[in-house]
Amino acid sequence: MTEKPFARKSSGLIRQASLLDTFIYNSSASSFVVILGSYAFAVTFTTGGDLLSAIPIALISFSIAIVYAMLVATFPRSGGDYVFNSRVLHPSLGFGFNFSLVFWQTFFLAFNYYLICFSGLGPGLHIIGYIINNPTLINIGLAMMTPWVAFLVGSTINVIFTLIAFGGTKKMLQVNNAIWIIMMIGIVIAIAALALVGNQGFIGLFNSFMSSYGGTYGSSPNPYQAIIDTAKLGGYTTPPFVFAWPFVALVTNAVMWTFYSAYIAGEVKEANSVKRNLISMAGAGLFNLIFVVLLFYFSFRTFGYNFLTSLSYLTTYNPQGLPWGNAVEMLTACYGLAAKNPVLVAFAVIGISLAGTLIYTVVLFLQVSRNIFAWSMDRLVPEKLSEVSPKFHTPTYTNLTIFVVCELFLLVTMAFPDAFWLIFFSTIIGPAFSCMFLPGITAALLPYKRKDIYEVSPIKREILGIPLITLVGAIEVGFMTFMVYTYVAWPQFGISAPLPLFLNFGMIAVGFILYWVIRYIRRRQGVDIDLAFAEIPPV
Amino acid sequence: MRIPLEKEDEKLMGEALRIVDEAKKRGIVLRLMGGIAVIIHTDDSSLYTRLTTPGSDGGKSRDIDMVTYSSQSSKVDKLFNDLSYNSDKLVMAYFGENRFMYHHPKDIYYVDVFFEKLHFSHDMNLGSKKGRGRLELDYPTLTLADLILGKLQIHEINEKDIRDLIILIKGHSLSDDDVEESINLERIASVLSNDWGFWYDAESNLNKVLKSTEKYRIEGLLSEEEFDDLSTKVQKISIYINKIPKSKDWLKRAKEGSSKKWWNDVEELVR
Repeated sequence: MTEKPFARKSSGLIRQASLLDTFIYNSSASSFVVILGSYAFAVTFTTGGDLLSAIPIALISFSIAIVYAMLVATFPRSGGDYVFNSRVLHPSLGFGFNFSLVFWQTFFLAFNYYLICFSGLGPGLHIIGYIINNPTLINIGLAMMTPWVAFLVGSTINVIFTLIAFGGTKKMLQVNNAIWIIMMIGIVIAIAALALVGNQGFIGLFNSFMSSYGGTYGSSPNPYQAIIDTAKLGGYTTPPFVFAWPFVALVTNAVMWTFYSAYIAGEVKEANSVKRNLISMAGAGLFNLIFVVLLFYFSFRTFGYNFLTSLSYLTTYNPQGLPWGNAVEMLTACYGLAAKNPVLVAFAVIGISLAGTLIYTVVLFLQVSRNIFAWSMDRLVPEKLSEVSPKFHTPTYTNLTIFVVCELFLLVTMAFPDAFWLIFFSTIIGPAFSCMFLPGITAALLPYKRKDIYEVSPIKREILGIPLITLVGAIEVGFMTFMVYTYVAWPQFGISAPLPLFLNFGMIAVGFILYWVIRYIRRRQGVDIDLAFAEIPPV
Repeated sequence: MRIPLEKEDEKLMGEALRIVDEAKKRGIVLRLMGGIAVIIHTDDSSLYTRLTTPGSDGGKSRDIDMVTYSSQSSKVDKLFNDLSYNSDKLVMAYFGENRFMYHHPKDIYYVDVFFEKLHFSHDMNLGSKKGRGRLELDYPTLTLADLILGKLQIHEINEKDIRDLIILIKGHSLSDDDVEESINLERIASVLSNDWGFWYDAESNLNKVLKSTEKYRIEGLLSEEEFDDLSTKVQKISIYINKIPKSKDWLKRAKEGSSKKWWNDVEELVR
């Protein structure tokens, strides 16, 4: 028998999220398939086309996961950036940035409920229906891609996930694991199909499919070549297969969000271990990156670079004659075609469709819920929001608030279809800057501003006399500055105009001002909220 | 007759019993476990005093541990609210599937209320719901067998837990049924025969009990008779546990042995 030292101090906690749960959770937060759509969009205006060449520079984005792994090990509490930014820098900064994050992530959650029909289930069923020649599926798919149906289905999914949230964290994680596994099976099938079919095989499958579809391209003897020729005739020149700066920003999307378990850190097993956090955060980033490489390598090889870029151009600027007027749908259909067998087609298409939509739901819901709960515990928002139902043992009012706000945002998304892409990019840059920029500063300053915490933390390590976390934090701040510059410098991303700029960064200012207003009101009520920020929450 | 306690412990004990009593009046099945339950089951004040002498990091309880059925969680919450306790919202929100926590109105101590499926280093199931579980078999605490299982499941056991085990084993007879004030070996053995990891740690902890009794005998904290009685009982428990046929899951897991992690990590609430 192993002799263990006497180590237990008191009855403790069994934290619910295992290393595997958090790894999957973090991988889910940073969907690598979404990059396909972004690539198809970016390749129409960039000066190069080799997305994979951006990977060496994109590796710098791992600094984000490393910063979070270290900060979470120091503050293993639910609430993520809000907890350590407010405790190390200042509550107004912590709340300001976190408010912006929560605002945009709630919007993104609602946006995803909407997208489940428009770019998930709808196109998915439509594509499967076409490939396996099933008119019922085609019609259901088409019906789903109408605003009201999307709203109704989105609302239903909103209800379902709110109910799952009432089942507790473990249930949410189980649901997330299930969605991730289905998604990964589909993606593995899609990649394997691409690898096995090869370029000539794919051309044959595509031409055969397009011939049966008919239309401008279908009537051509070689629809595959016709797509390349039509794009050229339309004035498009395929960029050389070289590196282009915007791809750095795109590729990092597969990696940079893989720290989201920070928001449920109080429920994660051994969250005070830097090593475990690195495995679940940086490890998930690496996992996603490997799939980006596989996905793009085989996409370039099997579809052919010229065809891929021409198809991207046509779906963006001249979709007439194509079965799907959207690059993501068209590419998803191509993956489905490569899979050939109806069951494999279904898995591949559903996997890829889920990857850009449903996969975010649990991650976003828990993130938003934990942050609102943390604000309420600090008395920045009504204490009702931190009331926990003894029956459901979940923060009832927080869950219901998220549900209601999502419904409102769903309505906004449906009511303003022209603002679709503006909302989409705002829900990427806004939250990215909100939750990735300030933690870099917090990390860099932690050893100096909170020496008491740093000295006893598991991250106390120095290189040439400079704390390691300061160095990584500085790298992260530099990288995030570059990311923002890239998105603003390329007007095609659509966020350099005043309104998008306000939407992306203005919410931070709104949150910052809100903090001081709340502080003033609380003081008049006789409540000193500063006291809460002198302490670190117990879990 | 209960052992004499220091003023603080007496207050804590009084409060624990008041809560359980109030629960009983309201039809709530709420039972004590942990340090306070051990004290309630201890008649030998001499042994208790010897093993919990100042400086020995002995038997002082700083919290109250209780168990109820999850189906009664809403009633329990109302009970504590009525008694002016403050619920720990963070614990309730993040760990409410398994436990609630309540702070004393003056924050002097806290009460942990666990539900029937205890998740610590190893899992222990105390039944499904009111009338169908093991909570009703004793009052105001869990049965002695379940209290002992509660100690045996600890992967990283501390000296206080070992002393609690010594006190419980020394003070009670062994039986093969839930007889009042005796330790039901059948219950202990049946739980351990289904869970190899639990059995492994229980065996390890029983060995530690044996070693500690030897140490306490040398230090003069236990008499020769007490030592002999304890050694005999611990060996009997171990023999009983090992002679019971094991489940298929147990046998399957046993093949992997300690090459694979066999316990759940238990972490502190505040680090």
